[in-house]
Amino acid sequence: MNNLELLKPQRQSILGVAVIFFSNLRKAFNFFLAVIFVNLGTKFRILSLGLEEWAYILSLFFLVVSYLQYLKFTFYIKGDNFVIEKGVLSQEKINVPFSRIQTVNTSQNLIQRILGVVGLKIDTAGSIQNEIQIPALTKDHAQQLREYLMERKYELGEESDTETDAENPAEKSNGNFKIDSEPILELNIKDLLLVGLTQNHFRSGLLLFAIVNGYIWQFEDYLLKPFESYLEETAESFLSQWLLLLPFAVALFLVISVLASVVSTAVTHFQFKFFLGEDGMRMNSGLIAKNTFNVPFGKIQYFKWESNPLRALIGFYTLRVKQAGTEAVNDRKLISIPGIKARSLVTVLNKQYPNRKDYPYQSFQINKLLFIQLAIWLGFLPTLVAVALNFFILEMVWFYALALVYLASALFFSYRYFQTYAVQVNPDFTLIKRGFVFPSTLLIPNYKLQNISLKQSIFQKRRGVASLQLYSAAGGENIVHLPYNEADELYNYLLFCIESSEQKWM
Amino acid sequence: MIFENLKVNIDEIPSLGREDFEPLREDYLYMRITSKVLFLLFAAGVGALFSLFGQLYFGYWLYPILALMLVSIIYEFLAFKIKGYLLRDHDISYKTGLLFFRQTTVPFNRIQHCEYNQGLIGRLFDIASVKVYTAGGNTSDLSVKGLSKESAIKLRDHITKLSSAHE
Repeated sequence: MNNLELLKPQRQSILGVAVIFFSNLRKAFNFFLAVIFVNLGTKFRILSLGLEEWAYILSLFFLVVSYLQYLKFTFYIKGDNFVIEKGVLSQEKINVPFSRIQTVNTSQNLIQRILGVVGLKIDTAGSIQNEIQIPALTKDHAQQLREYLMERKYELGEESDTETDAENPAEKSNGNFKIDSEPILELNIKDLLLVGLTQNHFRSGLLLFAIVNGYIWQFEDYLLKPFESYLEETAESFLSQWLLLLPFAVALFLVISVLASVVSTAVTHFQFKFFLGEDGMRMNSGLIAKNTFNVPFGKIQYFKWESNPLRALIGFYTLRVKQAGTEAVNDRKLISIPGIKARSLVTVLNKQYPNRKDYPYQSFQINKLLFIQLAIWLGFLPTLVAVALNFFILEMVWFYALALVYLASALFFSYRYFQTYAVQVNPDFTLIKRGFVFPSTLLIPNYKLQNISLKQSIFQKRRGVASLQLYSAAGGENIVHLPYNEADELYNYLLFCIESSEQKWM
Repeated sequence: MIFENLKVNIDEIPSLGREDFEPLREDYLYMRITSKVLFLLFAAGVGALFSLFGQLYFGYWLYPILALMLVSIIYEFLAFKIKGYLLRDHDISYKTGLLFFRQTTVPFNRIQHCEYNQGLIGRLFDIASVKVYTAGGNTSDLSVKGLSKESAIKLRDHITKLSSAHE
């Protein structure tokens, strides 16, 4: 069938040494960053060796380690398992049963691209070790191995459940699904800029802040000590001027946030191409690290598409494709397609869920307890605290007007959020719409659900409402404050949908 | 009627009433109370050490711990009435929670694996639990507590048999 010779242990491409070496070097660099940074320009001596000599020695050491790691890294096939053995000092053996393989993806970081090799990642449903990766294979080899693994996986699938496959002939060819040659979506530089500019800047700003903050505290001693006396002097005048400085700080934060989101979008989604095929979808993108994602339709748990006020202006959505996995792994496995227009979105939905409008949807009305809770937690409580603080400490009259404006807008947004919360169910799908400023919609096929919880706190009990939690292999989603009898009926109905379904859900 | 125009008549869908649930073994209640009391006794012991060898007034720990003990025993008695499990042809359910009620159902055709557990205190009271896992998560999705060891093993075997029939 192929010339992979996988029955006996195999090593990756010899270039793997370089890939491992650079990845080790990067880890070491991160580790020694503080030492290097502080001693830059000063006379650094340990055992009468300087910084440079130590760098050479360590590099040599890592080269040897990398070569050993390369030698000890083998992969082969044993029975129905794909096996990876690795580790120099402590041997590790990873067994991946073919049936557990979800998808096989390739990726290229900068080093891998320069060397012309690709990394192969094997995704499992999250029940096995976190990440299974072969760092360096030649392109052809990786392609062959990928195809072979997927083939084996589906051969196995057919043996165990011939019946379901007969019903869905599409499932069979999932391994090497055909892809339309024309991408359904391609993002050029202008689109990327638009996507970047309409990002949730607040979030990317905070993220950047968190990263920078983390670094600063890590190297606090080195970075801040030299300025300590200066900082102490200015601290007092700084505090008295905070009111003046605050707008500047906010403006600076905004500018940096916008820049951060534009740059990160451009880097991760550079040359983004999104293909749709008979049995699955594929995505290529990346400036520094090139990633290819293959998602067979059968592996998609559900879709979620989001927008925000800026994106709504230019008609862009972000489509998130939820696959099976643990919460922790999910972030990396979470595939999102930025800047998709409504028309392409409908194309994708029609392809994946052609039957989504076969039956009429039944709407469920959320209880106004949601509005009351939001109003209390986001509106009244913060306002009360702020007003109390002002009354006892600051004593500024204009502050009350500000508080009133805040309260009014909080109430408005809470009410709109409550109004836009919509739940619709038909025999095949559940549709949940949430959010006024950041609207999101998610569409779950009922048979993809795995278990259902009904929750009722004592506050809800008083009002006769209950919340539902729907769990799929890609995580849980909430429906809050349904009238109790409706929640109960929906609970029973969705269970019925799961239990009466013969379709493969994973 | 809430669902109209659906494939099936809503009345034909089996409904799961809170009264159908099986209560747990009473020993489970005593086990929970015992473990809480043991924990509080341990806390009292720490407090006593401080009072004996330090300057701590004994009332600072004795009264709060007595109050906590009383409250948690009353709570356990009330909460125990809520707890229960239900085994049906196609799924298993568990309900719990006095202040925050929660009822979860896992259909057999979505179960990945299922395990049986018995803790140290559980061994004294012959109390075991069965944990049920579905795909995609590390945490167990449902755990049926307060069974006797014998029935827990029976339940696990039953669930394993029924869930593997779907693969």
